[in-house]
Amino acid sequence: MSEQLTPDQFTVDDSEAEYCPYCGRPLASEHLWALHVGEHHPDAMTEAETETYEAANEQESDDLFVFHIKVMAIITLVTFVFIYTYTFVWL
Amino acid sequence: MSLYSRLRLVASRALDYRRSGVKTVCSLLAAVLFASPALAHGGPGIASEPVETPTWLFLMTGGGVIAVSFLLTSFVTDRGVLEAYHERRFDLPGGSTLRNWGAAIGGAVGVVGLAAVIVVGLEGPIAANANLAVLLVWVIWWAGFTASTYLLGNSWPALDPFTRLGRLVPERDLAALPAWVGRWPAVAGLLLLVWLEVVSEVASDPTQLVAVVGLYLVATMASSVVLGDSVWRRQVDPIWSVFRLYGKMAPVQRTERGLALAWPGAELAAHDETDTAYTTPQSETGFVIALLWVTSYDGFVATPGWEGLAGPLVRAGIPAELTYFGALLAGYVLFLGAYWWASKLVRRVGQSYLSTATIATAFAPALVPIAAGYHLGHYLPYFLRLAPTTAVVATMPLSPPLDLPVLSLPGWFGSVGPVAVLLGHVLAVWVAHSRAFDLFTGQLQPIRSQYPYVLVMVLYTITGLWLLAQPTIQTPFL
Repeated sequence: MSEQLTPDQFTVDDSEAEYCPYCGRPLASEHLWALHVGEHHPDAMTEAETETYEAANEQESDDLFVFHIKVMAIITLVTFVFIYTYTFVWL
Repeated sequence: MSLYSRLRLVASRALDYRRSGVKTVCSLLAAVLFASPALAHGGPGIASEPVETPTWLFLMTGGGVIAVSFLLTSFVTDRGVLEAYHERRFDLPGGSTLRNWGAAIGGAVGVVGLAAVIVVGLEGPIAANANLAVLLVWVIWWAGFTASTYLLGNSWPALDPFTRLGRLVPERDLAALPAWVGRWPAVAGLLLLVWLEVVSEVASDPTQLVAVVGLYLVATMASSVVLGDSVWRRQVDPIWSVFRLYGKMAPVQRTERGLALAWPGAELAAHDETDTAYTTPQSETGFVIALLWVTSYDGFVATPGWEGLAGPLVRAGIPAELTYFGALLAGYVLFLGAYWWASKLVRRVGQSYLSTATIATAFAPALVPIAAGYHLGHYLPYFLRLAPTTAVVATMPLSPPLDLPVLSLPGWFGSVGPVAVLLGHVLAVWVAHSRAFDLFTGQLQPIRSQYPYVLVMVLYTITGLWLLAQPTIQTPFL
């Protein structure tokens, strides 16, 4: 689903960028680089890249799980703030 | 006087936003948000309780709904699901037949409608609410038809009488626009039209209305000769561009085979290859922001806040029209600047090397549902109230009966405005979320990248709801 991005749609303003060996897209970290190669070039990647992708993907799932727990906590907090506020205002 | 302020004056009498409307919405939001059993049992009875919800809580609730809907979208991280949302199309049977007939019938309706506006505008009664020209343009076309472009589909290409008449004159292609111009002329045209609508009597004086419509027709024909029909439509004509954008969020979409159904907002995230030759990323973003800003501006100039702000300038001798124009430009620059700043932050927060222009262009279409939400909230009550009037006036346009029917809306209708505004923002959050998964890598980068936009949207929701909760005055100093 992702459209083809051309080099002029990127501005690389530091020296940290890692470039994708298949499409040349600059990525900000090794983690993102590994994920990008796995998501966009699954048929072309080497065995070593497959391994780094799988590790990065697992890391991403773990991080997402922690992130979602935080989101649940915030939603709960917001809910209670509103319930209390409405209770004080309406009663 | 602004059309918006006129209809708000009428509306504020019929529906009391601050009392019943605001409170109903708050109860509704509370019920939806928290689904507390006590409230759920309350049902419609909640609204009749003699309690008031203060404006600050109403605004906070609105901002809260947007923030929570963003948090909820973060649970949808499956690219397959998001891809299905974007790309699923159900072909409508007989779509191409419908399009062929629609073009023929719509074209005739458009030309007859334009002729009616010009004839009745010149010959009909002076009273705005009895003149078919005023009712056709503002009630049927700008309130009703515009709503159909984002709720159903953009049928303006079939209807548009201006372009149709413009095609009658031979194209000469005397001049060409440089590539950087993009859609900026349409931005200027849109701002100019809205300014004219606010400072002139075009919303209520049939003769001024005919003058503006006539000028538009002349401009279309002249541009067709000089620039060519397609350049005029895609780069200069603000009306064409507004409906094109609104139509992108509609469920019915034109395809090569005819017509297809899409999820609401799905097409907003799609990349329009056919248009890239006519536009630049900057001007494309500029047009979306202009559409968003003019909807707020129209409401803003009818508030006491604006009267207080503009008063010293007008008393210092600056012409009122110029003050209004200055505010229009200043507000536009402010909106554009805020959006560009947020796009820059998206780049940093999302740890991406995508350029700011790429990010701004990619996410700008997600703002279209917000503009549509404001439009629906402002104009749906107006349309429903005056639709019976228009029907009766249409039977005898030159000598309409003195006693004209007006639909009186129930009190709960006051909540349509805030609900439409909120739904627009929620759809915008969702479209931006699904777009982020297209542009960024992994699952967390797309979610985190949206923080700046969500912040801007929460602020924008609060501003919009604040405008709705303001007492409406006549546009001052005009």
